[in-house]
Amino acid sequence: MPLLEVQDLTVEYHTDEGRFRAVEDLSFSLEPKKTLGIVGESGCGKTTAMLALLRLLPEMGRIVGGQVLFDSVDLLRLSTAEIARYRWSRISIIFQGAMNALNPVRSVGSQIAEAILLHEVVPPNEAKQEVFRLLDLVGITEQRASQYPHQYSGGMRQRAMIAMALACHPQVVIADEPSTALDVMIQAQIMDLLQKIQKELGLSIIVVTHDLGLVAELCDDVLVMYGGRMAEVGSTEDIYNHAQHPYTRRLLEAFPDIENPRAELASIPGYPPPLNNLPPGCRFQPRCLVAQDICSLKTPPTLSVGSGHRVGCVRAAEMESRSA
Amino acid sequence: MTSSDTYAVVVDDLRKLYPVSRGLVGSLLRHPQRWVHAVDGISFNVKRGEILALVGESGSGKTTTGHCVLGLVEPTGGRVLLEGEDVTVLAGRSRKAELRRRAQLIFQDPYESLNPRQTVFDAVAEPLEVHHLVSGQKEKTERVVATLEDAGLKPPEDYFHRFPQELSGGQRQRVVIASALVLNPSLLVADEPVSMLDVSIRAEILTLLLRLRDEHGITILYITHDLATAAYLADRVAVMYLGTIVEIGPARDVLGSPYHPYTRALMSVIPVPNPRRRRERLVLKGETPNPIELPSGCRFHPRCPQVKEECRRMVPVLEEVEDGHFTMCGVPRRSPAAEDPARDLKDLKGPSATEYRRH
Repeated sequence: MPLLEVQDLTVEYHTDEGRFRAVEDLSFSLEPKKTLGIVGESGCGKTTAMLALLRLLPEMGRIVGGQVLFDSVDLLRLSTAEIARYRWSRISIIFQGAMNALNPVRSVGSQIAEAILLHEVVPPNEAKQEVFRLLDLVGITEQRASQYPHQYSGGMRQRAMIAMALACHPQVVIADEPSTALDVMIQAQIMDLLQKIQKELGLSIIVVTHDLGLVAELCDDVLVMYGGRMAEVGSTEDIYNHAQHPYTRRLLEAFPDIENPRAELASIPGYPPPLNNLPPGCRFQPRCLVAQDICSLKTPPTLSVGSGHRVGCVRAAEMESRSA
Repeated sequence: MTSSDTYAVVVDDLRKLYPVSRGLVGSLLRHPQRWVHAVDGISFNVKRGEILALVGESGSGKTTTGHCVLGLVEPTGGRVLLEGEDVTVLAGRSRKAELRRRAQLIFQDPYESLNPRQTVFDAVAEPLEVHHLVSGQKEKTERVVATLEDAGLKPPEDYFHRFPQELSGGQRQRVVIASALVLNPSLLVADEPVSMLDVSIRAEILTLLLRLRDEHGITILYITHDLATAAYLADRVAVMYLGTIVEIGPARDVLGSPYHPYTRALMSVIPVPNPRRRRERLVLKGETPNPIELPSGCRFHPRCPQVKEECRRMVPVLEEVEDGHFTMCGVPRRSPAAEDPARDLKDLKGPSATEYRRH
């Protein structure tokens, strides 16, 4: 039984220039204690989908359809006060670039304490101990609690943000680009940390990223998004070794593999579609090498090609038989 | 002395130190001046038409090195020769224009490095005007057309009147490359040219850089933290740590069978896009120390998994371990390729990539 189940989620942005669909008919689920990777390029809707499920969309964003079931409760039907009780205490999110959003004139410890007190996680007299416990969990010593963000390195600030995300004992943590902009070695430390806390706290994690290498090493399941829609979803093994969607395959070919540097690095001709000018039919069709006439006529159906492995491409079944 | 015919760039014992501000109290109390050792005595050369990758983490000194090579920053010590001529001389007032024509920089962020009020045509034509390289409108247009085509913006006329905000990230970076290329430089210093771009676009830009080298013989100094793209693009790789080069040599050797413990650790933590290939990751503890108070002996010793007593005292130097492959580790080992079990999995490649090409 999945802990979090998103069904047919559709999100629009209503702007002066019109309505844009940023996410359309997105469905996926997250099992307890598992890690789901959501991959896609800029503008594919991955961050919008995450904000929508926590009802944190900016003012012009509207959820126009779908369900987000957390423990069988539809988060989209809760009142503002009710959803506020789910945020941080059930599902927390580490925003992209959040490590640069710490208040520069307050110590890191006091900022974490504020989150704890606001949500009444522990009585006020125990807040300090709780801050130390959280910092210890992410590998920051007590002495550094009284320091300010500028005295922290980028990696440490990201650790502090992870500690803050854990403050209210959530079951699900969403990490949006958790290691982008960090050095490789620090990135590896953050990955290790996420794996450690997942094991220790029995967390479910959603990692939103464009880094296919990170997903391969960290995730159990992978959702590939393109132009606001699901291109393919499946186990990490399905996606990396039996990809059925032409976009997934091209994306994997375009990603440099340090162990296989001589392999030709393929690029995907063209550019991801802008939301205000989506192509007709399948959104990948203008860049697809195996597109047929039908692809520009109608949105491809989602085909199930294996246990938990679904593909939004009319040619999926064909691909399977060819590569088998 | 090295021949200026073969080397586009010769860097000899280059040093760049920045003073640390002591503050008012510090200077009144005559605290000793402290220095940031951004680049601390590095030497390398780049052949004409060669692509050398300078790889390292933030603070390793790779960008400062690039700026010294371009004469944007004056070295504290040592020298840089561009085609046999000293860059500090070239950077002097009388010859600065010539230096800028010969060596160009491509910035990391194509969103920040183009003027939002300038059309693509103007952005590419401006360097020609600044350097008085064209005599008339017709010649100018011809040069811009040819350069945009070279940078893969086809047909060029379609881009003339467009503004940066109407272009995608990949197209913008092509415009940035075109405005560097229009002067026919012999050297490009590309500082993280693809790190801001989406994966599907990165390969295009890297392929473009490779083509420029192949077709025009342009020498490229590729500055990056990304070893995977360095492996794809570079002929040779220099790995930097705390202002020094710890390992340098042919890309295949340095990245395929690294000697230095730092290079080995860096290689081991690069995520591999295949869940079947799990490798043993050597995650180093802590972070790169600050370049003000440098560790004694080998700079890497406080984080080295194979540290020995002598590492704390002896300052290592680069030693040649194989043809053209130098490493600074004081105790060079045999190449690890044979003993590393993960290497055996090299051939185990997912079927998807190759099979898909058949369609």
